[in-house]
Amino acid sequence: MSLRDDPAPVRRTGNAQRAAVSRYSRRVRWMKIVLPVVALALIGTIFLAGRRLDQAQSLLSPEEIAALSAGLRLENPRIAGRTESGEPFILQALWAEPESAMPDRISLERPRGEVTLADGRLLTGRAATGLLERGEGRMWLENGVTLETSDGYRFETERLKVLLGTREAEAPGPVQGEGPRGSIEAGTMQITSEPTGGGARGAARIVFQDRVRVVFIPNTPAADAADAGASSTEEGSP
Amino acid sequence: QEAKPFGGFKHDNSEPIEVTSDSLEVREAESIAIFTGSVVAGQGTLRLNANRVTVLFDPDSQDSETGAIRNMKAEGDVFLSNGAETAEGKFAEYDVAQGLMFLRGDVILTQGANVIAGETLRIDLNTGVAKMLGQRTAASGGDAGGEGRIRMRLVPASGKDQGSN
Repeated sequence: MSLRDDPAPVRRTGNAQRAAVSRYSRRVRWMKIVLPVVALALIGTIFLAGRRLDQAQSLLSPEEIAALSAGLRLENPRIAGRTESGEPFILQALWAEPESAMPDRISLERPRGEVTLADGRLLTGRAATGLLERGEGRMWLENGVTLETSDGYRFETERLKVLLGTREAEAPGPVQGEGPRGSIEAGTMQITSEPTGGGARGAARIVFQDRVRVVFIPNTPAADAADAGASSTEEGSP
Repeated sequence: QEAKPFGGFKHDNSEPIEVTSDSLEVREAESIAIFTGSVVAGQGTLRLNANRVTVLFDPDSQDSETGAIRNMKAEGDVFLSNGAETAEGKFAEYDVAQGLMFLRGDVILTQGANVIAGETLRIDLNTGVAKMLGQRTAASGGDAGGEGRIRMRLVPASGKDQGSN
């Protein structure tokens, strides 16, 4: 699916999209159980380009690409689009500027992304700085990388590598996540996704290593309230 | 009257579960989380050690009473304790919703001086009642045979002879 600036309707039949959404919303509810850390599997969609590597260029409009390749700084670049599953997202930064020596490496100031999930939750991701390596289809987020969901989950790390066009990401350093259902800490984290051919197309697979500590809070008023809050919007979704 | 060796095990399965390990793999497609490498899982006074613990999630957590976790399977050097009593075996399965735990494979249950060996230990964490199935002659005290219920001569321990502490 190529990325378009205007959130045009996704090229899918109604029921295929609904199927994706319903399968998707069930999975998303599961994510809550393992905190936004699993939701991080969406990082690919937050800073996503299309599926193929050359899609990385389509992150930006032709004029923006032209400006960048001319070494110019882009102020407030902003991209709106839809992920594969049809979720609207916005990507923006304070500015984007190619490195003079290597123009296909674009540094980003305060990159930020938002995705409205199928179940109505808002997922936002931000960092102090970012580096888009267009050649390798890779993006680095650094310094205070934070991911939050509107139902109270928060996830932090210092550095995050995202493979554009895939749902693959890696945090080489310590990660912490917490929310109504519990918390997680680990020394490193890698996210990959099931092979798209398989039944569980694109489902996340996450490996944490180096002193893993997880707390599950089975059911407390706070956790139930958070769930109740979210699920009331879920009931509304198809 | 059935001894309640794990009486102290009266257990609240809505307490937070904390799990620490060397690594953790989460597979969203199968709704499982696999902890490997010196895994320690604790809930209240219950503590489980094992080489590997697999946690099965309930994708629709709203309808399961204990929220997200359906059950946990432990494999390899499984060691269970509630402070006073301990039990070892090769495998364990903890049905969180029902509050039932099964320990299997050369199970040894120890309470103070009383040691009982058997094939499967079934612990009802709601009542604290434990049943050893396929009991073998125990090192000290326990009677062999019978339908495998735990029969123990309660050695006059330090005031803990009512079973539940």
